[in-house]
Amino acid sequence: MDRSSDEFMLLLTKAQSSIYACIFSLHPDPVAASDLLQETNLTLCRKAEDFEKGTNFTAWATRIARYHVLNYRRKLKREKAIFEPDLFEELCVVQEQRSDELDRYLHALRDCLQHLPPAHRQLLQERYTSEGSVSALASQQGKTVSAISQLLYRIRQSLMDCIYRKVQEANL
Amino acid sequence: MSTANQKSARELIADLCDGLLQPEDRAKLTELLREDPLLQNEYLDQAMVDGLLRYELGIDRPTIPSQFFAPPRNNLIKLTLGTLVVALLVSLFLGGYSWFDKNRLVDIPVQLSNNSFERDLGISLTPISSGWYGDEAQSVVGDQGHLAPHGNRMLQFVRSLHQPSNECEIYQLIDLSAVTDTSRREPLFLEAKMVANVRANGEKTSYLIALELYTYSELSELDIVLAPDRLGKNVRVSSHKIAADSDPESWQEVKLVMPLPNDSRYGIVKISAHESGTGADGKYQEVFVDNVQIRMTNKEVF
Repeated sequence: MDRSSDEFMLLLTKAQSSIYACIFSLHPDPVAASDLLQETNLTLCRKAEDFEKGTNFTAWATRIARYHVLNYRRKLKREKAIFEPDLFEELCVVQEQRSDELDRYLHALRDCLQHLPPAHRQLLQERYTSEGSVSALASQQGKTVSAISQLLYRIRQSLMDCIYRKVQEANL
Repeated sequence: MSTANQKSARELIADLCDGLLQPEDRAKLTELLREDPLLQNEYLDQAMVDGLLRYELGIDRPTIPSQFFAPPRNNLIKLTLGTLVVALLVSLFLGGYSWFDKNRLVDIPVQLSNNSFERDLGISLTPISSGWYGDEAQSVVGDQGHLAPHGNRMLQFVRSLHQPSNECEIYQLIDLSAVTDTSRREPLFLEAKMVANVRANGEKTSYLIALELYTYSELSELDIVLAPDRLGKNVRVSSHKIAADSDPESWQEVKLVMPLPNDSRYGIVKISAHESGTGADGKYQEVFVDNVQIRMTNKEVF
């Protein structure tokens, strides 16, 4: 596919969230993940002609993203790599098994966000939109950092449960 | 996974996602993840949702290389809003100094990007660029005799491959801040109109085409990402729906007028197609829209 074609640009634009999430889950460092996303985008553009029209773009893009994370880890000192090599490889395998579904997950997430209780949606907004750190949120709400962190965990878990449910329903 | 480990593991995973994991806890988390494939899945669930939220809602949304793409979303929104502000200010200036003259007809076009769909939509799930966002839709030249009534191209709704649905909706953000004034006395109205046509895709299938306007006094990025009709606060809505007629060649006008609340700062225009009945064969490619226009007036013209 031509990298300058509207179709390619559209596919790449739509896949940004999923590629970022793929990178972040293998190397949960937001700064590095942003850099890796940019590098991945450049590679995807250079390799656009390799993409077979009609196949799953996000699966193709996240495969290339995993190569970038792997390459990045090679340059890191061992203590800076968040996961040990063997565990990293296991996570890559599990993640690759999910890659065909990533687009559905994103669609489902948007729908699931709408059904969150208002207080939970507000917390996500403060955490993710307003650059609110967990510590700042805890101080603001008079709770412990651990309590806010666990609440965010439960909200993300409920979102994931909702995503799985919706994807399953769509597959029926 | 034991209960004791589960609690500990969840705390550690939460710490990792929130940037709170201490170096001494990293080895413990690694050990727990190595032992337990279910926990690996749980970690990937958490990290994936965390990553999607970070990107979708904003804090880690990076710049896309400019040599390949348009500017990043934040800049584009600012650029678009800036352009709109300038355009509206120029309109006000050209309109003379009698803005507050009660007898004068105020008639200010509200600029929409790609309003007659002459350019490819490049539609996004989120307003990553100026223009339309939402479900899947495309700009087409014509289809089996359907020609665009304005310009060369028109909008065609598309059934999503990822999430097939009987509703297809697209949105565009509009900035009203330059022309709304909480101290003004005379009422203002927003008028919106477009033309639509449907070629029914089966005898038992029916369609509704809708044009809706939403105005807000406040609008966060989260609100923009979410569908506007699901928002509960600071929102006013007006809509007009038409049913598909039996003539596949005729274009129908869809139009609405809504009083513009003084505190309106932002608006969203929504265009949607709703399909019902049992005749749908999955193509859903027969709904067309063209020439969406919005204007601000001090008199109800329609």
